[in-house]
Amino acid sequence: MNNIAFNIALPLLAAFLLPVIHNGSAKASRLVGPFVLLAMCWFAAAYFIFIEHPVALALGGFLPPLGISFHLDQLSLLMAVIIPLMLLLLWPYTNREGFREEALLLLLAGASSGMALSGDLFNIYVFYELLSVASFGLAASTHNGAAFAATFRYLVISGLGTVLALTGIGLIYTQTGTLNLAHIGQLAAQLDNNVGLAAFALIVLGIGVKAEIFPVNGWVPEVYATAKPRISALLAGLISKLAVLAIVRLLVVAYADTDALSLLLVLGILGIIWGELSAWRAKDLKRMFAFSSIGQLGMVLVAFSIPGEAGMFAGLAMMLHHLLVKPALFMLTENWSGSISSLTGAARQSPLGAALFILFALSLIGVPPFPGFWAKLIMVTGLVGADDSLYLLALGILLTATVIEANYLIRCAIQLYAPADENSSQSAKHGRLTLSISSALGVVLIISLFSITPLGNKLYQIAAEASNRSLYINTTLSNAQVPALRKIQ
Amino acid sequence: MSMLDTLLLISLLTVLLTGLGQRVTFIGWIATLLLTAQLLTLLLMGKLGYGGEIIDASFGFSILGQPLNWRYDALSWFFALITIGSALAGSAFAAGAWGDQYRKEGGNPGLLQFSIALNVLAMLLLLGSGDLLSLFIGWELVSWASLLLMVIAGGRASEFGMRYIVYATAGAMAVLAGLAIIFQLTGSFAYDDLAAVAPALNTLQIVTLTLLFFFGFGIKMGLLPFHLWQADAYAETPGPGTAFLGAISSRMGLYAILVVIIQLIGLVRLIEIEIPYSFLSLRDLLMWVAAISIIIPTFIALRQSDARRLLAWHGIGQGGYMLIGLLVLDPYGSAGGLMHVFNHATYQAALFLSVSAVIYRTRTSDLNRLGGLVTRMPLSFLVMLIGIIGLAGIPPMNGFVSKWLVYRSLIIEGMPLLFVASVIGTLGTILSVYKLIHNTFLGQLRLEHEHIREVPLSMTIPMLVLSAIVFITGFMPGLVLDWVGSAQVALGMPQLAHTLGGVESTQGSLDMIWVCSVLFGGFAVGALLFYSGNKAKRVHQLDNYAGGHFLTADVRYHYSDNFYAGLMHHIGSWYRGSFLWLESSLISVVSSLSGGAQLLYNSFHPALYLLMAITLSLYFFIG
Amino acid sequence: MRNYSALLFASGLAFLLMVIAWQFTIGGAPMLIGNAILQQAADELGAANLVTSVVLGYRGIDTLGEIAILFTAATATSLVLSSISGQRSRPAPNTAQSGTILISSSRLLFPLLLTLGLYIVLHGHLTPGGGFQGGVILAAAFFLPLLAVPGHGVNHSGLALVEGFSGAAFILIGIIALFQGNAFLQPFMGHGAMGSLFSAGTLPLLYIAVGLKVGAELSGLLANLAEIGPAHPVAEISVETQSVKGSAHQ
Repeated sequence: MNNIAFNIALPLLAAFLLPVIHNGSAKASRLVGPFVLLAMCWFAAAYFIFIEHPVALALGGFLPPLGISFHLDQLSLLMAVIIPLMLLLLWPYTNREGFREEALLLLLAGASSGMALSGDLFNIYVFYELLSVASFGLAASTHNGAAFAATFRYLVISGLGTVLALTGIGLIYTQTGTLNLAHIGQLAAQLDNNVGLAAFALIVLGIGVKAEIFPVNGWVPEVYATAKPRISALLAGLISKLAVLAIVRLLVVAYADTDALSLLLVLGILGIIWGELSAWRAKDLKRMFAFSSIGQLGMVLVAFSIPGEAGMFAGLAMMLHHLLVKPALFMLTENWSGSISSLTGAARQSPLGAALFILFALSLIGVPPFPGFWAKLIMVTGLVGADDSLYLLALGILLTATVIEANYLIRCAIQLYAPADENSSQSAKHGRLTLSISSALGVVLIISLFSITPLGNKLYQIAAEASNRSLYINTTLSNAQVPALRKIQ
Repeated sequence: MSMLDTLLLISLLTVLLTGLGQRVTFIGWIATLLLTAQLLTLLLMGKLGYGGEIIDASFGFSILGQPLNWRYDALSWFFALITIGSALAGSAFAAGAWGDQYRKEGGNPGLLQFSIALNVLAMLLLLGSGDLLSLFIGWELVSWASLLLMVIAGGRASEFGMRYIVYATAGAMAVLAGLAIIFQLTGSFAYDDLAAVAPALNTLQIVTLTLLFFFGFGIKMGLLPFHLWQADAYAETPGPGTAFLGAISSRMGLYAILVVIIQLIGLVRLIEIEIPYSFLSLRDLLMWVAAISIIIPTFIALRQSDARRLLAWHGIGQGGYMLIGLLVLDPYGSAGGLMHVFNHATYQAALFLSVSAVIYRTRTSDLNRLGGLVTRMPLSFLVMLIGIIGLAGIPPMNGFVSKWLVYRSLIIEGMPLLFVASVIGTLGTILSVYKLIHNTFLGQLRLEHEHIREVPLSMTIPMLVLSAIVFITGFMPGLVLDWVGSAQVALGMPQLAHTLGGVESTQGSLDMIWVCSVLFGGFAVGALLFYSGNKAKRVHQLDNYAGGHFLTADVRYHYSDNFYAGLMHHIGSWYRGSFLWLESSLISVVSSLSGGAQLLYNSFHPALYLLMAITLSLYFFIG
Repeated sequence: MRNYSALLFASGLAFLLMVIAWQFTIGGAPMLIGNAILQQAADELGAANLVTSVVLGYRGIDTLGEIAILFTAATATSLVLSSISGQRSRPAPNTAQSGTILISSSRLLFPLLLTLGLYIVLHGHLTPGGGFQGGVILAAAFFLPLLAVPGHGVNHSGLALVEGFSGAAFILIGIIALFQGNAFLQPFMGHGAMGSLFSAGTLPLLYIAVGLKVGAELSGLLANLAEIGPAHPVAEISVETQSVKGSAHQ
């Protein structure tokens, strides 16, 4: 019995029942979450490995485009595997605060999986909403005034964003009369007008609030600075990528050859400039990473705006790399929270933490032979290949931003190794859990460094499949899998 | 398994062992031993130096459909010889007494040895790169490895290392952009594909590629206007590390320029491209950059009062000679440029080691706080004497031969202005190296240095070996010119006809054996006259008078402050620090932009930006 | 300044959206999916209320998402409030403030609201309304006593039980379909006679689950808010909690 719908059903079921289980036995309730996440991993991985894809799965037994369908290709299944893995890694194992946070995390897992898998625009919107609400709760879970204030800003802008996104979806529905992505793709010609593009802009900026797209990311620095490192890691690493992917799916099926690309490109360029410049003068590590992740997301956006397969390849490479590196860096802020100057000499107290910091910083900058370099190389060749002056401008900005990034990251690294002075924080030692999470991600980074050839080939294959518009449309509209609808007497 | 594999494996082993054995007290000797093994392996590959077959590494990767491979030809071998040689000198110097003292002062000699070994491995990989992608990987490895060497001293060294890495990253990014353009043009990173496509490129493409690569690789050489980082970063490295960096590190930039610009893109194309509204071709422009990189850093060196900084600034200037020689593109110039790489490494390492020896005993490299050490440290004095003669390019040392070749080629090819520029540089060099040796070893011994002794054997031997090489290759430059000739062939350049003593050609000959014989004959006559005449009388330094007064120990008659006051009176106003000003204003621009960017995030409610963005983008699509 | 710029951009946005709206012709929008569903829904699902066929049939997973959003909001709120309310003792029921009229009318309204809510939930597949609407009315029924008598006790664990099991029921109905070899959330149990109470397969069951869940969730949420008492600025509360902690130490 294997069905990818379990990846939505199980975490939601567990979250609904968690309060009840908790009232019965608090100990048992602590086991539920990890168990469900493991099961999700298994379902997605099994689908990835054993079942032929790409395939569309009709939910409720209604064939698309009437019913909602899940689009299962390598990309969405890959994300469906990564989501529970990431949550398992960042699960609050030592948290004694209660079941509510765990319930929210499970809901987040279900919503993320839904966003990754769904092939229906409105369904994506619903899961996006679910994801947003869960993330508000998690962001505020630090229980202090600053976190509440930051979350409130986040909530307001996010709410405004969802309204805009909904308007955009509405506009698309008025133009095409359908909500299924594949069906929209088939009718894409009706969207290549100013109403269609306006709808895209509304959706990009609406969903872009989570994707940290400039300029709708004003919430990012404060929320990441006040939330728990685990939560920041989750938001910056995973959630932002899902929002980007939703935009990219829409882009590929309906807006591949339009002005929509230049909108993404311009927003991406501005994001790089603003993010990296702000990070340069950030006062503490959390804000620095927050700004840097804005810059990185800008790079991802620029990469995706390259037309064709090259763009998908570059975008996925940058995205997956950031997904791996940023959570690890955020985890390291756990006990390195004060101003950067108080980190002087922290390497002596936490040598492994400092070494991991350097490893991830180097990969983030894109120093060969670390994976970040290959991602950047793919992106750079893609930008030159796009053969357009705006893309060359983006190339220049990307490279300059890398210099700035190298500057502030290495400045921190050197500070960590400097001899301690009177500013130094006395307790810059990392907890064992934090270190093992970061190390686990570091090990993944090192492994991917040594298996870069097969990884690159696989990623190219995934990108080729994900950027194939007619394949997407045919998979859903011609070959959707639905168990024979039982004719009822 | 080829010899190249063996070499790289030993190098890797060196890195691993020094990395793991941080706490072992005799780690320095292990490193020295392993570096010797590397040198021997390289010598076993010595056929390369005489035009042997290219040696391929048997390993190779294919990433994203692009093959990566490594191989050694005569040029790589020549540079590798210098790399391992200078690393060995530095490592051996640090292994004994120097390392013990370094450890006592809280340093970690194991880390120093590890950094040197790591740099060597990175450089060997860079030198062996068989395509542009492996070249870039090697390039970045070298950049980051040398950062490690620069910052291990901590304190101010970190600041300078930080500055270095900003410059280095900027350069690397320029190179990366160049690589991407090449990939777009040829569809691969292979050298051959670029060389095949290069003649068909249009002017814009050539200019773009040349400038990107020249900027990227030139930063490592400290070419103007990107020279600010180098001297400080090198000078603050622990002594033997400075010797190693000063000897070879910036030459990696030269190697990359040689391979990519001169060999693959082709200098001939650059000569053809005229710069609008000037008399210069693109090649001339690069040569003038090199010439200015000779003059300005050399005269900056003249003003330094720290021995290590003085030498480090010269390192930049000497790099200009190498580049200018290679850009002339005739047998003389390219041979001179390549040979100068070798020569510079030998005397520069010797000079840095001798300064380190002085620091080891006196704890300072401040030229205003030294003097008269010749009686206490005669061997170090000898090493420095030989070194500065080489640096200034005066016979009979090897620096003379390579500079002579460069001058000669500039004259033959009819570039008098560049010749004058090089000579002005040499003038500045002579003045400043005199300041160096005078303020350190000559004149009055300071009271606090009364009880100083010569440095131990573990330190003098590497210094003396280096000085011996400086002299021998000056006496018989043919030894080096053999390798240089093979390297020229590997680069596809005309080979210089040479003999053991120097050059034998219709366009100008030089026989160092003969020059040296005359020189030493003259010395011999002088010595004969000196010793046959009145017996000299040895007196104490203070058994003397000046200005009609007898001297006592508390009277300073050795003036080192404000050296060359007269000269500075005339040229002092030319030192404006414009580049420093440029750099600091760039930093303040970034800083205020950064502040502005942050302000934007904090000053309004984020929702306003959402509103603005959506309104503008809707306007973009509808309006 | 910032208010003016906000106003400026908001009116710009409004103008641009109006420009877009201007281009539509009323009734001219394509109704591809809408028309297809209009034609097929009655046959496929057998629900007299077409909206219900869409909400629970064609777009059932959306509905699951929506009840999850509500649940998430409630959980997030109680997570935030837990740091505040945990420190405060619940005020004792205070009947004196409310007066007889309020109390007796709330008692009178309670069964009426309950009946109305249940009716709307149960007839969701037949008439306009359904689980969400009915659930809100149910919540109102339970919230009324709380309004009438501040400090009126609420059985939170009971609410949690209803909430958890009704949500689980929705998903389990979906999973049962899966185990029958159908798709997740595929309706089963036959159509029945259209228009009768027992028709449209599992849709009424789903709506009951939704109704109970929405009702329980909203009651719980409102009760949580009510127990905090009159609105305190967050800062004040945190200061208070600190002083409570401080006095505990003494």
